[in-house]
Amino acid sequence: MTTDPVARLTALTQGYGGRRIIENLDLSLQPGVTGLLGPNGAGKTTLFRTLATIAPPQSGQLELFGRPVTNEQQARRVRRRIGYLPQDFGYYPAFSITDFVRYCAWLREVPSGKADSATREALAAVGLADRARDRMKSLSGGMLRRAGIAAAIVGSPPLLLLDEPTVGLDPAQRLDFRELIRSLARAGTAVVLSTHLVEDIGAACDTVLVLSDGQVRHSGTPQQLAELATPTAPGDSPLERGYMTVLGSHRPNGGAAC
Amino acid sequence: MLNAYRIELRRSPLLTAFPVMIAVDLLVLFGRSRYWIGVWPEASVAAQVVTLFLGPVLAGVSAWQAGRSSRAGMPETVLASARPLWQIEAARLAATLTLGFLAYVVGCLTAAVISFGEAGSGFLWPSYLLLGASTLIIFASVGHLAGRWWPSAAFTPVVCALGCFISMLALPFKFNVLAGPPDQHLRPLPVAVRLLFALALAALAVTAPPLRGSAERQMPRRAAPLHIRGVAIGSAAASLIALAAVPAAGELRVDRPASATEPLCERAEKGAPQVCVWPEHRKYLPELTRMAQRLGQLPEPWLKSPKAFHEFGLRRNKWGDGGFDIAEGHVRTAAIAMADRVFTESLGICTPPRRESRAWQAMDNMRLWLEYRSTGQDPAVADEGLHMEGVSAAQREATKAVRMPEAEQEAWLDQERGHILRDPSWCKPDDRF
Repeated sequence: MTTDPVARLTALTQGYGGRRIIENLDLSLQPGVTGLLGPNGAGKTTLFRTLATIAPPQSGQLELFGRPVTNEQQARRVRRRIGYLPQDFGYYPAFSITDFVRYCAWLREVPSGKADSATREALAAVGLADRARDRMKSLSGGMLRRAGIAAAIVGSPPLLLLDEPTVGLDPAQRLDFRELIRSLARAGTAVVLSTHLVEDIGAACDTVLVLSDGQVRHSGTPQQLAELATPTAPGDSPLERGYMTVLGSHRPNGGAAC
Repeated sequence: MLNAYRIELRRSPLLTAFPVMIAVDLLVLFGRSRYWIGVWPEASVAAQVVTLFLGPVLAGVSAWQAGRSSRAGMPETVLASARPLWQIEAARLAATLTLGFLAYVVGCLTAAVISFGEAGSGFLWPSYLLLGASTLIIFASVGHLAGRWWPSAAFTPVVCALGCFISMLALPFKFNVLAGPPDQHLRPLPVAVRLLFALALAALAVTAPPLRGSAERQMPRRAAPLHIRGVAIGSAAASLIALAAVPAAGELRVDRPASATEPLCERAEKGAPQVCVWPEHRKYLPELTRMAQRLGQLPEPWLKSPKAFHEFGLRRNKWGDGGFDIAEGHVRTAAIAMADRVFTESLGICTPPRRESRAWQAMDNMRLWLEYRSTGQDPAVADEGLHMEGVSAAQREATKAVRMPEAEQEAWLDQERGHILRDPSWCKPDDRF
């Protein structure tokens, strides 16, 4: 069965200050949960910024929801449909959690009539409903991350980009997070998440992409990635060994995710 | 936009500082002077002067607020926002301005309520209030722009607050006035130019692109749409043009034409000189009519009072203005002018030769005696708190004279008059007014 891709990158080249991080990348993101694995510097964050329409492609084409994004006006239009949690997620310390999520809803132009209920729903989804009035500065690292996830999912955007969303979450919170992601996907949201925690990918993702040196080295289900594992590859699980195998086949000395 | 504005409003540090701002407001309002109470233009200026102190607070807070996004690591979230950047910045600046204006309005309303009893019908003059409002917008906008370009928690806010305050005082053209006598008013054009400058600056503060090197510029970003860049360039140009137009627009405060309003005239009794003042100075009229009444009842028949005393500005002609003025709420300055008027009415304009020091002394003596007579107070009371160094000899003589019995005062007056008119050609009739 084939469905229309949520995002399509064609011959994308991207980089900063003369340095190319992604080169000539072709990629198509389908609905469901897509996990992005790759070592540091592989281009994951750059790919997220491109998908979030922050960084315009140096060359190549970006299509979101079936439409090309070539200028700021088009970018603004699609941003209403994208929830984005950056890796270095900032927040206003004096804001309450509600204010912060509400503010992010405003940034994404969630209609003001729906913003309050959307904020409540988002906070409930990440388990912060009872802490809604707490100031952001009073939250622990894990709670901050949950507030960030709430800010990304507020208003139920059809595309969710989560750059390392599980950093700082304890094991129980990670389990909750995986369940949240799966339920969002069931409701029709396309989720792209990056992580260094391979077990999150295995538990929550329908598709896994292994990115290295700005190129997709593997695309398939987690099961397919696990099947690529060689007996000598390092790792504690078949998926980890599969990942290391893919990385090793493209790097002379292999590569580590963490 | 209203939602973000509300959040910004609720989370503004100015909200915490609001009681302090109100305290500063009222302290400046009542601490600087009290004579404005009951005089609408003076009350308007007193309320407007407060902006010189509220403004730096606004500039500092605005700079702090504007830099908050960068300091909090929000640029990536902001860049991924569907909202145009100017709306985000506008909500922030609007919240700062709202709280600043609220403090300003509290001061204005206090000035109005306190004045209402004595001042009677009328209200604060909008031109002065607009001038104060433009000062606040200028301070907040400069702070906002500086905060966006050089985000810092302390350095930029402090530099902004101090820099704005010093430049306001040091600039060759004024963005504020310190006194509002009713014989003067603000010209609409210079006020409009200053307001235009303030609004252009506010537009620039929210639409200006991030400075090279700022957090927003660290990552590749899409250029702002053409129309926003146009507004930014346009508002920058408008700011510069308006700033250049400030000195070109001419004097901010000018003489108010007497035809602008009907003067308020009154006399204490039939036959006493009439006193006419600007209607805004109604609170001084009872005291002034009593002074005129006393000057109409002088012992010597050759001492003549005019039919009417007019306040400064009500009877201007090509020779100038022979009216009395009330400087900073003191009717003593009116007494000086009234005494001089009686003197010239009685003896003319006298210019004895310089070497005739006794004649000059007699003129000083008589004028001061007239002042004391008009105030109806003992000189010790009337001169309290005044600097009389230049006329100390006259003060001694006039004090001695005014405390004498009426008959002896008449003799003293005749003697002084004799010195002044020793040569009648020294005095000529005053036909200027």
